Amino acid sequence: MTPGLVLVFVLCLLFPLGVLAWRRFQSGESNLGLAAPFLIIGGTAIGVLVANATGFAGPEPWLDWQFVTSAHSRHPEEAGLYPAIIGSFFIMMVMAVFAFPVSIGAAIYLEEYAPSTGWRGRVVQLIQVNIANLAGVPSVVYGLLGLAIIARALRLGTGAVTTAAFTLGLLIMPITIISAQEAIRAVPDEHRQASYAMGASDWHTLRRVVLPEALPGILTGTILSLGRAIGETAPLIMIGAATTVYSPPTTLNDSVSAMPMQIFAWAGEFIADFRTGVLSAGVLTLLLAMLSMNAVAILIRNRYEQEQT
Amino acid sequence: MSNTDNSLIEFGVTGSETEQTPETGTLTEDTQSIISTRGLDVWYGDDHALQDVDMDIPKNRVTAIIGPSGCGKSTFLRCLNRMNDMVETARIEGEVRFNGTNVYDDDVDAIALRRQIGMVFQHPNPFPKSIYDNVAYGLRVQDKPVNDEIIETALRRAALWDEVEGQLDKSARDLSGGQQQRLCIARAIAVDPDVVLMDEPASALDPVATSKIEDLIEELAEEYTVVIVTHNMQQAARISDKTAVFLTGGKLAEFDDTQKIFENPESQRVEDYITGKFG
Amino acid sequence: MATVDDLTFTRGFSAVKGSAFRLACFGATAFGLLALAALLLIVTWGALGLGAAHPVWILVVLTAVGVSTGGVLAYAGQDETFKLAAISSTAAIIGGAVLGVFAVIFLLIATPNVWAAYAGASILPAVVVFLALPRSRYRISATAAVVVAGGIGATFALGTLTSIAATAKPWLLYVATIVVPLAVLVWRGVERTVGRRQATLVAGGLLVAGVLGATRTR
Repeated sequence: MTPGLVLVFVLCLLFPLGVLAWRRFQSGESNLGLAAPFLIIGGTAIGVLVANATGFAGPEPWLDWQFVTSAHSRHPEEAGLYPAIIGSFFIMMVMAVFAFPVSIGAAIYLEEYAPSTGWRGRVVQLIQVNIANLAGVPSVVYGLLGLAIIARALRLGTGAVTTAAFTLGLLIMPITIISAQEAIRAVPDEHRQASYAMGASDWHTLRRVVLPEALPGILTGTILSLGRAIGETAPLIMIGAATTVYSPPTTLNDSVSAMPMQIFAWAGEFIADFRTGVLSAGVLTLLLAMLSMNAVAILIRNRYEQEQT
Repeated sequence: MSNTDNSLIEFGVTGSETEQTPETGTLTEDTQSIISTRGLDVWYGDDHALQDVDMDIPKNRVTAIIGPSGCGKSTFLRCLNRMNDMVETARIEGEVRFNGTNVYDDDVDAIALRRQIGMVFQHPNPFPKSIYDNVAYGLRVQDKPVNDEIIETALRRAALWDEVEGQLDKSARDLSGGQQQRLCIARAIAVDPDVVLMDEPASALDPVATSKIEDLIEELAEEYTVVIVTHNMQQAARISDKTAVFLTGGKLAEFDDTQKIFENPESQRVEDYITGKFG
Repeated sequence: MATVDDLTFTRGFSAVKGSAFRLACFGATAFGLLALAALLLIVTWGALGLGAAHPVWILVVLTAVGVSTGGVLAYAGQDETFKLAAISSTAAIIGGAVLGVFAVIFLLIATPNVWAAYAGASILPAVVVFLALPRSRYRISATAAVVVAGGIGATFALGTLTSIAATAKPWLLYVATIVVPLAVLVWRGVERTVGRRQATLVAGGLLVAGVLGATRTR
């Protein structure tokens, strides 16, 4: 971590809070409650300090700074998850760039433009049913698809970042499409009618009425699907992703590992500390990443529902 | 899309200005028609919803459309600004002439048409935006200038200004049902259309809000042509200059001055309906 | 006609069925929650190596966590505004952390010089254009056009731009491409609503904190 990156992280960390505090300040609300998470964190920190001062033995954490900044090693004390963390997030980002625009575009087309009558309507219905089915296809099957088509036929390389990203992108697309469709469908038809009656075109109605109202729902669905993708292992095994890499990927064609792959590798290690301490630390890191993304999604949804009523 | 937005079709001249509106219920002979339909038929799939309707809607008057439910009165209203275009199964034949132009001609753009014929719906349907943005919506969509003055004028005309002054940033959802409906009227008239269509605008409101809307409609007729669908015959009698009665099967049973329809209708079936014998 | 028997019917077998079903549903919920809690507990226990800690140490920390959390919750129970603010700020912190991890990893992969090349060619001019056209109808489209054009330009001149960027320290690049535009936008936002003095204070504070933060952690 260079100083510049620390700066970027702190800025990102405090940015949403700053926007929130500013909005509340503008509307004249009390900002006292914003201190709540800091009170809890501060209380915990004081507790740790006091506990250390008592002289009783403290814990020996496996999940520490060393763990998230170093690669796998033969010695459990020196092993870490760094390349896998970078790999996982790299895959997520590439996947998001490709899968989310396609999914949201498909959802918009299916909900707003696709014909619902005649033989064309039946084709659309068939597509709908197929999307619902695809959402239930086991992930290992997507892995096979990724291996055969993306890795081999398109020659993107086995175990490369792009291959992993496209494979996982295909996996989450049906779920993202369905959740985005539901968000768009939840926009009352009366609002569309009102917009059309004002002489608005399809595009205006979509951009100024439908999408703004559906956005929180779409966002929730996409974040939840990110949470699903970050934990997927089977498709990565199928496309030949490495269980352990010693340096993080820096380009799209680099060989990549992901957090669940590395965890899977540790579970089969001979030294017991790998199977208990290091493994737990890896699982906790993965769970923290996934649960915080889900928490953000749920909180966005709750906020949205409050505004709706 | 912006291409079609800008290619507003000019509808024919509006003709000589009529004199100031006389009292409700009476009609002067020099009133011109702004919309006229000839042989208008509508099918929804196999369902013949509207049959051979000929009607001339007078300019700057309130025209009420009454009839039992399912008689096609809403369908008729939605033909006038081509809102039926969005129903995929709908098939429309015949002519709807707006200032002399058949709105179903190939070269007429439905979007341009709706900019001159505003609409208010049965359930108040403001957007989940601020009051200001709701009123400004039509102006923004139509690339017209938006300023506080225009917004205030629209809200004043809709008799809502006194209740929302100073809180235009508030969400339109925080208003009561009656206020929301008046906001929808303000939104419709902010773009200064020629005609305002209203589809049972008071049926979801309480009596006090209803009477406010009725007062408002009478005032609006001074500047706009109002076509209102209602299931409430007393309402039609109170506020309209002309009344059309649709009976089952989507047929126009009678269309005449409101006074005549309610006091001395030509057809026996209309009289039965008016007096409550059926419907 | 309803007899007394009809009216008291629900007190019989039907009532038993109803409460049994309710209990079963509650049981299912509780089982799910407990299973998740147990999983989290085991993993946390192992990951933090709490097995090595003395029970007193754990007790002290747990007490501190309990007291601070309980205190906040108790206060939130009385004050609705505080409760809502507490929930939103917790969400903002979690969201900020997720955003931060994504941003840091993105910049790690992109490397400072490449990032600075793209940001300097597209983001900085876009901010300038955005601010230069305050009330224009073309504000959004012009800004977007600058971003795209800058991105394409940076791709073609990537070699030159990265070699220019390489002459500066990475932290300076981040300050120039992230902190400075952010400070300008914040100044603009605060100035419009509160006033010039406060805006200068806030934006200047942000800038100074950014520079100090970047240099001091070295």
